[in-house]
Amino acid sequence: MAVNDAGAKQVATYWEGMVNSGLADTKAYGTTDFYNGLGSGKYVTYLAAGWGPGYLASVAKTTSGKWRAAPLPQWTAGGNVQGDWGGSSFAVTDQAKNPEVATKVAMDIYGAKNTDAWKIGIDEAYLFPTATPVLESDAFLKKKYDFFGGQTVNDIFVPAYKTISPFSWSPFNSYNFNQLTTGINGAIEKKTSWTAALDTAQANISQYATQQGFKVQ
Amino acid sequence: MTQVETRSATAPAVAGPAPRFKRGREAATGWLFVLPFVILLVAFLLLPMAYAFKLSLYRSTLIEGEHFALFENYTQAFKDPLVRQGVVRVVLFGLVQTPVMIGIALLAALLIDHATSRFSRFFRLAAFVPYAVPVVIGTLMWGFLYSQDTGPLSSILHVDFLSSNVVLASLGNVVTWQWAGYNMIVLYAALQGLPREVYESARIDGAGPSQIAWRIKTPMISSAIILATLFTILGTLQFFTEPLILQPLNPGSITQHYTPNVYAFNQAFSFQQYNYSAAISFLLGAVVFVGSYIFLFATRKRSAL
Repeated sequence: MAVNDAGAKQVATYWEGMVNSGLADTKAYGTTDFYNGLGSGKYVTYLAAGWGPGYLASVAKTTSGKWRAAPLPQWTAGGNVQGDWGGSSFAVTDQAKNPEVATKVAMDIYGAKNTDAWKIGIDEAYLFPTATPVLESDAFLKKKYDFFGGQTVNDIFVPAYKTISPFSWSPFNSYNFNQLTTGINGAIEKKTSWTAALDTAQANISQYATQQGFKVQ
Repeated sequence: MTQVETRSATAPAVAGPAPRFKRGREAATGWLFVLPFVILLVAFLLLPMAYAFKLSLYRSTLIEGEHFALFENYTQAFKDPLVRQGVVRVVLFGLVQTPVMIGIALLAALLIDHATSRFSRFFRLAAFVPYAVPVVIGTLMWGFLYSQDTGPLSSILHVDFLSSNVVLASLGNVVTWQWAGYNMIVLYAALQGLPREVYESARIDGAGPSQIAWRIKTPMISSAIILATLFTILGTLQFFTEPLILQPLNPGSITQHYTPNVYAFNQAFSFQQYNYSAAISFLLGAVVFVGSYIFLFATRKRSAL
């Protein structure tokens, strides 16, 4: 377990510098000021996941046509490292009374074969398809977005998505996420070191994991 | 309903010589009347409390499952610096908030009691309106007013109301806005109940309006003031809704352990630590109980409670 390894500290130091030199804003996500910044043109760069284009198009309508998508900047020139920033999927839980029937219904509604449903999902709801054939279809890859000045943004996001190597979440991921955000939020507010915040998060998460009966390595 | 009527109708004829029997019937009727209250009390207060207390004695971990831990959660809470910080913060908050709010409420109540113009009626209603606004909506509205870029206040005063230095005062302002009018009405109602002759004799003795307000009216409504103060103390110790609603606006200054109640909430609903959360809640309940008892004991001569 390492949330304060060299890589993490490199990222934290980088963003701490961005914030200190006034290049990155620290307004909390989802607040009035944040949306105002998006809509008024105060923010010119937004690091986004696959669901980002739809989100941006719906909350910053006034800036339509001004945005373009580009691959994430890399630490080393020519590299291609990508990340994951959540999302949603369609799943049948084990509490379902008839898992098999439920799965069939879910497949019929949300599966790759239901192209009509996916057309609505892509055109109206800006979904980043969970079904691989839809993800790779021309309808999705070659779709032009007016919000991005007619750019085919999925050309950027789909290859990036395919670069993410398989990984698994921690069994108490929400606790980890909470510790990290609490630490960084506190560091921003009190203007203290971000890397020290990572060390604190590491200590807290280790303690929590031990309390929960895990062996921490 | 019909049953109760038949019983009371037949009771005198049957139960003339047997008072004990009669008392039993009266008791049964009495219980019937309080039954709706008792059912609600048991279902929504006592049973959940008993369940929470049971939870607070157990520990549940991802690997080992649930096991009996007696007071382990409580000792952890006593040692937890985040709990202590929260308790210190609400006590500090209460020490400032209570006199300020009761002072404003008392002043406003004395003023509208003195003046009986159309303006005072309007003022009475206007001061009470914030209490009619649900706390969550009122707090959201203040959150908008406090916004640094979009809020109107910051652009005039150039203060970040949600930064860690000022946020407690900003929260106090929301609470005062919400509750001062309510307390004012409580005190005003008490003032309305006072006999008017006392003022007249005070005036004959040469007392001015401010002397009457301060030396006659205020002592005479002291029991109402104490009641309002007690409710305010209880409210500040359990400080919860306002910090929870404003937290997303600046999670760096309004932390997840900002007040003991917010901490207990986050332990349960962010960290899935239901047992620890229950222990913190019970400790806070004990603090509130002891705090209000001390206050009532200290003011027992003046209060009617």
